[in-house]
Amino acid sequence: MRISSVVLPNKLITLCLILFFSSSSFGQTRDEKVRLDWQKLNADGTWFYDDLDAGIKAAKKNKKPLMVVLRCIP
Amino acid sequence: MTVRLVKCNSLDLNLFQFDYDLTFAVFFLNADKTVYARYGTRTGHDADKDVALEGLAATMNEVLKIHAAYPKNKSSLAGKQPKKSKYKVPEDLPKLRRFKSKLDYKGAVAKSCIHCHQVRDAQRFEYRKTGKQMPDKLLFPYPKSETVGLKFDKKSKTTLAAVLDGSPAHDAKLRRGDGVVSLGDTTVASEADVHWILHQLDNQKRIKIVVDRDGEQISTTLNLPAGWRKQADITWRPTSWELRRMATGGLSLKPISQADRKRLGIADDKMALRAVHVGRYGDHARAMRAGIRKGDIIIAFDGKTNLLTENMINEYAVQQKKPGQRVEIKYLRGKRERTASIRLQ
Repeated sequence: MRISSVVLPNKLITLCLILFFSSSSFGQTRDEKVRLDWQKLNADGTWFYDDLDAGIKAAKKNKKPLMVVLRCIP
Repeated sequence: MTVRLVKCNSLDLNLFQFDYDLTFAVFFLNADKTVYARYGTRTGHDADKDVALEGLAATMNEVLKIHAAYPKNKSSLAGKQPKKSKYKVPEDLPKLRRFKSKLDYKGAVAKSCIHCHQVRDAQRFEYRKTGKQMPDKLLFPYPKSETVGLKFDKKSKTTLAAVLDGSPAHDAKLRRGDGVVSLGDTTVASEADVHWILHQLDNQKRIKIVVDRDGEQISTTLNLPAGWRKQADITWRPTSWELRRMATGGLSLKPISQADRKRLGIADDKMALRAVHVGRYGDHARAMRAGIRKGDIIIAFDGKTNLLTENMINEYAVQQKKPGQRVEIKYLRGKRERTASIRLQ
């Protein structure tokens, strides 16, 4: 998700928030939840997944602020 | 730019300093690692009760304003910056050295994860091991804003939903609807920012607060009463589990009802805490092995009868007693008084 203007479009914010508030489905083992989170969110290109350095590099290049979400999955 | 971190393994402790009992925390940063704001608050067992999408969106919009004004506004952000950490990453802490820097996605991935609360557990463990008195800041971390009388509307950035009667905020004549602009000369963009600033206070007796009231900025002072930090209930915190092991050998305690006090003839100013959970395994089972069972009522701890909450017992045990010392616990089972002896950890 690129933060690109002072007023963020509502749809963009909602999508972003749903993605990081959600911590996977019910009825899964802890290991499955962690793997699923990685599969879902690492692949969609929205996040620098567990890669702060890449996020910082991109923020520097694009002169954008960085939003770092720390989320306990299990 | 958005980054998702799902583990504390290899987390930069010189940057990511926050309430480690949270399960959801957000840092807004400049690319030079200056902290613009924090988001994520938790004050009870329900991890999601104190956060809201609307509040996060409001903080995000404020962050964009901060970013646009950066670096001219750098001095107003000084109070948000992390302190130098003794350890660079969690796995440098003695208790966490068994962990690796990356998750084991091919194996037992959840077990390979350093959970946030384990960072504070490890920090406390280190203190306890030295036998030094555990500092208030480590024992009562990130006091919630209600301890100074500020109750925030979670759907807003920093608007007060209420000001608690008889509190420092009430005495400072703050009102419902005021928007907190800064605390101690540091601008705030969220309730988490307020918690961060409160957490950093040592022995200050007062702190300046600026609020926006109908477009006008009003500056006033919160006078902090002695012991204000300790008024925060910490029993909901995941890190209290380890604290209970150290302090009572694994007891989770709740005050008994007024009716039970009356029935048992225990005065209001005397200890009467029911064991609602008794640890059953390993070092969390010391109280159980000493004979204490779920439902027993603790009436004295190391001869003290004026420790009226679990918080007070835990505080006494880790600040006044050393690991290895024995304490006697008096308790009631039915109406019969019994005694157990446990060695503190």
